[in-house]
Amino acid sequence: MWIPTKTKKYGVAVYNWRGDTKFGLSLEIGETVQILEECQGWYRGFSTKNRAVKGIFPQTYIYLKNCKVDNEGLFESVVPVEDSVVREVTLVLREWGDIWKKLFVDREVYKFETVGKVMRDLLEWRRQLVSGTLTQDQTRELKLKIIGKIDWGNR
Amino acid sequence: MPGMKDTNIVKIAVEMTDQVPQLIEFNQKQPLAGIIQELCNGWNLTEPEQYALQFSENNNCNYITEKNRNEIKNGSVLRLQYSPSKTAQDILHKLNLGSQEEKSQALQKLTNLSADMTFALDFINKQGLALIIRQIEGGKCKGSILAHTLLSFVELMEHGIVSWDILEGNFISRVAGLVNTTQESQVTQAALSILENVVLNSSEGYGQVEREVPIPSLITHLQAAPVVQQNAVALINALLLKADVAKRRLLASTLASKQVRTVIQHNILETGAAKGAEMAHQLYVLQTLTLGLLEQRMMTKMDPQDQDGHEKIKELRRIAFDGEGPGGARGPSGFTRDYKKLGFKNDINPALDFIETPPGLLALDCMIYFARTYPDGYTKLVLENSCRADEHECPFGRASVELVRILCDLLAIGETPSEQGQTFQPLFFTHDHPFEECFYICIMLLNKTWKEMRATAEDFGKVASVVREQIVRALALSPGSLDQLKARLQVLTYSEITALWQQERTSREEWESHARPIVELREQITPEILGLIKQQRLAFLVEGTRFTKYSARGQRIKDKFWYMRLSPNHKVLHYGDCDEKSAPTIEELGSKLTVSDVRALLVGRDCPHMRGRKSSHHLAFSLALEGVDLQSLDCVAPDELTLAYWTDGINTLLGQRMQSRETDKDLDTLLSMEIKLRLLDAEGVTIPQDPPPIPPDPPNYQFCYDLK
Repeated sequence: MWIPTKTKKYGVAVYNWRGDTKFGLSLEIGETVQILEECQGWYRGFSTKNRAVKGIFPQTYIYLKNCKVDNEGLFESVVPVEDSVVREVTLVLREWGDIWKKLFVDREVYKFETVGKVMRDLLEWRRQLVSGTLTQDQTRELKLKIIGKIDWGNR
Repeated sequence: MPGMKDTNIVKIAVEMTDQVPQLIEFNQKQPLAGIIQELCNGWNLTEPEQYALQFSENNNCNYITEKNRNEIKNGSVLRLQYSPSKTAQDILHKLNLGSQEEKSQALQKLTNLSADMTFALDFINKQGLALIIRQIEGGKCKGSILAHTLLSFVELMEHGIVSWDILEGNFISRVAGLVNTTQESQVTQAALSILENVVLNSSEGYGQVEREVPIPSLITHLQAAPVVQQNAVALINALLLKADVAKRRLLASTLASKQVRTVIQHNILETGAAKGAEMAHQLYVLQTLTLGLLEQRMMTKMDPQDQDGHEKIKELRRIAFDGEGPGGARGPSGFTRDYKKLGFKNDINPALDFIETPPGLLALDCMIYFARTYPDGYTKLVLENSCRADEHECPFGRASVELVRILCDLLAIGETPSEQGQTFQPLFFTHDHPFEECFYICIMLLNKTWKEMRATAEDFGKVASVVREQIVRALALSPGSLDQLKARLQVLTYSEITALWQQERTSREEWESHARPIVELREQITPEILGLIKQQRLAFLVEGTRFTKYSARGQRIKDKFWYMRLSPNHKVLHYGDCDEKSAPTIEELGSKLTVSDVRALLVGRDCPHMRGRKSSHHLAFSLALEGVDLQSLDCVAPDELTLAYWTDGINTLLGQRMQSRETDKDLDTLLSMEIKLRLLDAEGVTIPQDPPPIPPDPPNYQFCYDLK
């Protein structure tokens, strides 16, 4: 029996899966998924990259993450519970990633290298933030540093 | 059938003293008696029922029985010997009636054979064990005869055929007497081992051994040869294990006394005797049992009526704050203020801080030990934190409770010793109150780390996890003394720990970049990234390059330049002369050539204009043409990068792989960033090396949410 999941709503794929089964949804490692329902070792849901395509995937391929569910049911919205700065860096990094690739194609060599370096800094700081080994003071400082860099980049 | 191998047959050799060995085919289906009969025939021996086969290996001389005969392999060497029954009979005969010399030989043989279950069973059935017991009780044997008698007894009992309960008080007293007097080390060793077994296995034995063997006599044995030491510690452990709590406490405090500790330190720890696996195990058991005495306090929550506990809390306050001036003016609110300064969670009633178990009252014990033993250090620590005006004070009370909990956990307090454990901490044999001393060292460490982290109350858990890591790493090196522990912890600062964490993270990342799913992902993304590089290279060609002119013989012509660029639709190459500064547009370039006319790309020495030149130009490339007047278009790039971009561009136009080193570099830069971005949401999640298992297909596909 397929049963709607209550708390298991959001997760990340820890392995690549070709989705080679009936109604299978292929996944790439690192892809985030929203989960609708579950049945005997399987989830059914969709990738947050493409919400229109729904399919099933093995539960073993998913690492569940905390999230907040609103408007439970068919049109529920699922928001991952995450530190706001971490979330912001994630979005910024992805956005800059596209800009960065464009800088490469356009051979904006100086900008390409500078942005690349800042992105690597942000990646490292984000990692420190996520690892949770920093004290509150350090976290506050790091967040200021990150926000400073983001402002620099967006200018 | 020839060539068919009968798996039941093994080819072996059989030896016998003073006989020529026989090579035989040993049939596993044939009864042993029959095989022995044949062997006896071969050597002209009568009465085959008196013989038996034995393994003849260094570590295995057991008799062969119907049960263990399948251990015989091709090439095994066996021995034909008198049967266990006959041998047991002979030994008994000699023990009863033989000369002193014969007795001694028989006993030596007995010691060796007793380890064999088959023999032991025969010997015991023939009342051999009873005889041995009588001999020991009789107390007439001396020297090596006594040693062999005792050792045989230990071996015979090891099989568990006979219960230890058969031993009488008389016997135990006799063996205890051997332990209490100076004997040959073999005798002492065997006697200690017997008593250990008596304590552990016999229901009545513990009380008698405990009464008759005074601890000092065991301590003497701790100074003897390593084997004796081991057995002495093992007996002490057995006594500790069987003692009730009161006796165990008494025994432990004797053991913790300076005199005994010094003996252990000088004779066992410092001589390297503790390096042996058995001794390490015994010391581990000893440590576990001694530290286990703390369990009771650890598991006791503070009773609201506990006068002793309340007194201790008050004393903590007094020691910390009485220096501040007359305490007369302090009312109950003063107490609360002080308890807050002491860092208790429940500053109105600190007793509530000790109701969680573990660490229960043990935390309070450690705190009061610290305050009483090191009042200066204690006062300084408390005042330093209570006088800070900012958020950064380290709560002493709360920190102490947490620290004791961590120590109890790391030292596995209250767990029964395991059979395999060998990890002990030498420093626990170096002080009367090793646990409390550890606490003292670690609470100072915690305070230091707190400052290094510039922590606030919100960071309590993080500081605790760093301190835990520091202690784990320091103890992993088994420091030999409390001072060594302190020194080690001093080095393991917060920044050291974060550096170590960072290192571990990096190596994990390094590992992950080779992990299968990530390698797969790289492969999956590679075409997309190569697409970007191609796009970039073609854009470069569209922008065009100014080349220096070379003569037909490959000579650079001064001040003559030409320009080449690709049309925006990537179909035509336009080229023509230009001056040293200009970048002509397509319209300004006189000549052109369609890409489809390019047959091949040539580089370096292969270029027609470089042919025959000794020092072929490494920046040269040519477009070999067909179907047009021109044979080839020959170029020399101004620099390496331009060469790389042009060759990559042309290869792309020709539908070939880009080969420049620049491509590899760009691919790596772009790919590694792309992978990192793809994995952002998997940060901190463990990535499996192998694909996770796929469950069987779901029983149906009747989904709840069906939007169709």
